[in-house]
Parts: sequence; structure tokens; C-alpha cells
Amino acid sequence: MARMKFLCDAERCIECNGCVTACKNEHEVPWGIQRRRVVTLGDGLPGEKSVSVACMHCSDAPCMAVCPTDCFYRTDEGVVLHDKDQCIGCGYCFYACPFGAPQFPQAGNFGIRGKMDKCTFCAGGPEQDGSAEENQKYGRNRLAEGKLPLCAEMCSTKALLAGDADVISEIFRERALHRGKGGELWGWQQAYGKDGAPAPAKQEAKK
Amino acid sequence: MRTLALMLIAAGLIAGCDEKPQTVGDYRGKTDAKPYEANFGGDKAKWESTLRARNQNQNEYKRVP
Repeated sequence: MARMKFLCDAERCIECNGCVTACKNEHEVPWGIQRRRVVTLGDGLPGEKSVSVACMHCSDAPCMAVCPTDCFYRTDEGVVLHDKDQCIGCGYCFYACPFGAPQFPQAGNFGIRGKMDKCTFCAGGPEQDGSAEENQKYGRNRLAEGKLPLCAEMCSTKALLAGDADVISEIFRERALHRGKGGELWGWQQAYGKDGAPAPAKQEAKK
Repeated sequence: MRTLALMLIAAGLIAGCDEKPQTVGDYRGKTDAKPYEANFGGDKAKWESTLRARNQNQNEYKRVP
């Protein structure tokens, strides 16, 4: 079966935060929890880019590796989920995650962390699919309904793609061929450089 | 004898390429049901084809020729 992934086309993202709103509303995510957010780099500068970030459902998930209670699991579709009943809210996963995906609700008046919450790829959690308990703990299980994550389905410019990695990368490839640019995934060169070249220098704002 | 030594060296070198699982232990939480069980009556193929069709809704080049 598929390996479920997100892919954000930075050439298209207009920083409307529609994905964030869709996620918040669909799962009734409480205040202070950001399962998804839009990050803008070079904000206000010519050529600024925005990218929508959430849990990337890593194939070798570092959160999974560091969890002391082993509350993470990966589904057959490659979605990384966790059991909130097993979570102790230690925060190790937050430190391990390179995307800042794990979120912790404030559970008390003294800054005590609650159980971790993160993007579920709209796949719920280890409760009965579609049950009220699953909805309350993890949000709606759209995948079990044969639907894709709402953030991607709501995306106005279709910058955010979600689904089988092979299918969405093919959609992205076709798109890049049509527009004739932006075929490279934004972020890769900045992160790793091209042919060993250093990442481009930061542009200074004109005063 | 020499062949055996070479084989052992080769096995040792290949062992370095092995990918170890990153998890400390096995998942200790509750078991999750398959996503196609609740609404698709366990029909995995039907669920997959539904998702595949849904996936193509994200491709405007397929929607608008």
C-alpha cells in the first residue's frame, strides 16, 4: 500500500493559513495547539516563500525512537500515530522532532504539560474508528472514511498535497512541467546545498 | 581457508550496511484497526481505489483539461 506523505509546493503557497484553519476546525484543536502552521521565510523580502508544516510522518521517525513509553506506532500506510493513554507528556519527542510537530497542551496552572498532540494525517488513533472517544482524543478519522487530510483538500491553491507519495509526487512533477519552473522541492537546496555548494546567503532588507 | 577468511571479511563489511530499527522497544499501546474496516467492510481494494480517486482531485490538470 501507499506511503502517505505531505508535499508543499512553495511556488503556490500564498500563506492564507487555510490549512491551519481547516485542521483546527476539523479536529476541534484547543487553543495553544498548532498541529499545522505556515512558515514564511524571507518575510517581506522579494522572493519570500511560505510552506505549510505539520508532522511529516517520517519513515524513520525520531519521535518514535526517543519515546520512553513506546507510545508511537506506524500504520501500514506509513502514518505515524500515538496512543495518548500511553503518553506521559515528557516532551522528548518535541526535542527530537526537526519539524516541531509534537504539541503539548497546558494541563494545569503551573505549566504542567499534558499529553502530546500532533497531526494524525486525519487518521485518528488507536480507538474504534469513527467513535466519539477517538474524535475527542485524536480528532476526526477521515482516512477511514476514504477521504484525505482536510488541510490539503481545503488548500485554495492546491499548494499542499497529501496522499500516496508516488501519486502526489507525480502530480507535482506534472505541475512543474506545465509551468516550466519550480520542479525542485523548495528547501532541499537550502538545507543541503547543490553539488556541495553552500546555501545561498541571507538577503538583507533594504532600508 | 583463505576463501573462508574472505567470506568472513565480506560478511563483516556488509553487516555495516545493515539498517537497525531506531525504536528502543516495541509499541506498547492499544492496537489500532485497519482504516478500511469501519466504513468499507474490510474491503481494502475498494478503500484504496476511493483514496486514489480522491488523490486525483488535487490534480487540476486532470480536472480541467
